[in-house]
Amino acid sequence: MKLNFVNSVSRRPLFALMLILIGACNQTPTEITSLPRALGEVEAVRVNMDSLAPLDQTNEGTYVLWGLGERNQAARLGEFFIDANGDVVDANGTPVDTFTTSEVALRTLQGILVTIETDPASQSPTGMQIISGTFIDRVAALTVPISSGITAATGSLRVFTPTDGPRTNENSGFWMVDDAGAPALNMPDTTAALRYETFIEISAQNLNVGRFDVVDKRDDFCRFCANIAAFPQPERPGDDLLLNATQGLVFPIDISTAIVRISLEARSNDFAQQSQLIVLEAVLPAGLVGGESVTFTNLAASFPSGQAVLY
Amino acid sequence: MSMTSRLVTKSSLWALVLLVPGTLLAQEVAGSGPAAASSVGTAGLFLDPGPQQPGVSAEAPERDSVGGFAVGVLAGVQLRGSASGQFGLSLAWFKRSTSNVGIELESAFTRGPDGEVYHGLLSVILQSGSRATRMVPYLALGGGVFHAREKLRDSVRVALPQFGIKPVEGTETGGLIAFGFGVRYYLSETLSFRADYREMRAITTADGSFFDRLHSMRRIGGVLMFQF
Repeated sequence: MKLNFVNSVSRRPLFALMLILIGACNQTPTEITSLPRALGEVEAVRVNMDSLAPLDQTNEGTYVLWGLGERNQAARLGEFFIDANGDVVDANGTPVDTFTTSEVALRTLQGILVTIETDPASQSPTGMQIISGTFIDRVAALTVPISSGITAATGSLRVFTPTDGPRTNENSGFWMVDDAGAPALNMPDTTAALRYETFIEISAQNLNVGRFDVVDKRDDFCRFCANIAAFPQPERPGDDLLLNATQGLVFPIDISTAIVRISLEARSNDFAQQSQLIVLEAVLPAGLVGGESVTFTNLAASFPSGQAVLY
Repeated sequence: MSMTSRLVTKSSLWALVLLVPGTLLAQEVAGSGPAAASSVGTAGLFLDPGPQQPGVSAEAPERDSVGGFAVGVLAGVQLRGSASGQFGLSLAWFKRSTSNVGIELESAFTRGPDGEVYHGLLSVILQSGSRATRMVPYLALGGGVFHAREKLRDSVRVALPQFGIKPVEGTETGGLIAFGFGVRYYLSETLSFRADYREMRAITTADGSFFDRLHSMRRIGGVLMFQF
């Protein structure tokens, strides 16, 4: 085999030069200019978010933004906070809307997710999912990860106390059931990440009275009920406030003027406090005697939302 | 991967797929003439420097079969990033006396998911064995220029002002360095197919040191060349 020219100039320096160039050359510049952008590279994820509530970092956790890649691999894009004005800020209080990471190529992101993490340094999303979105043509609309039917959720509660027998303390309990015993809530199914939880705000305390996934089954608590062996509770969410009063309250308690809220909560790693994702709210009138039906108001329209752009 | 880049990648792969049967067809056509068949055969026999066989010449043919000018069509795919398709033309000249060294001018167009990049590349080709076998490995080293033009997606164009970003479709022009290697396979005296790997680096206008400004346009491609 003839190697006239290549032999004459000696191949070693040539190969050495190539190896040096291969080793030294960057794959992508630190700043994304028109060329890499034309070829699909992305400099950062730009995010704006509305209606997120400020969090007490000690008791309520920290917001963390995640980029979701193929096969739902999550890459941490950073933590952020909400200031008193409702603006998204960094740890120094400076407004922030640009996030990036070197963990993944941003152009490969399929979606975006905001969680509330108990550990601010968490490297995987284990906390409550607040808003998320899927990138379509590089733009994602961020919404609470639940069916859009949530904004059409309706329902009512009925004031009565079935677990201590009839005509006894009837203004000390509430159940999401109509006069005929049918479900009184119309809400979409929950998800693998979120489920419903009912709270009642009474005498400056917010008591959780049970979590549920479907409206035609009982919830997981009846901790304030009386004698469920003798008087079983309805197969619907709700509770009687008759026994086991928490500190500062005396049961049975008149629930007149209390506020009942049904919210979306994390299925795991849930906080004791009610989340900001309140779906339905009912302000109970004064002078309840039992048997009244109170209609819920839908608050899902005020859920957090936002938009993310890969650019 | 977005639909656009999928399509681009798909089109690049199709182009490669079409190139191969194209070359085979061309080989068939080229090989159908007695002159072509004999020249290929002669070249192959001539280039084997082993013991001389009866009836086979050990002298070089009068006309150098691999030197001179060549034109080619290129189809490739970028290995870096979103696997954009690349298409182009090349014009090459190889030294007639040895054909081990040549110069190639390549002009190509890359269709990215968010824009287009045009480039011109002048390379020195160092090859061996072109007179010894149909398979010719080669090295390439060169430089050139690129011109990139962004194209904003409608959804991004609408969203950017919300972040205080003016939705401008930028352009960029800069230098290009490239080195690589490949194998040329002679289908006939005049027709060859090249499998080409090229480490291309665009020197962008980004801030930072020289190395911080480089963007990989690494490419693998196929080139169908006609030598005359």
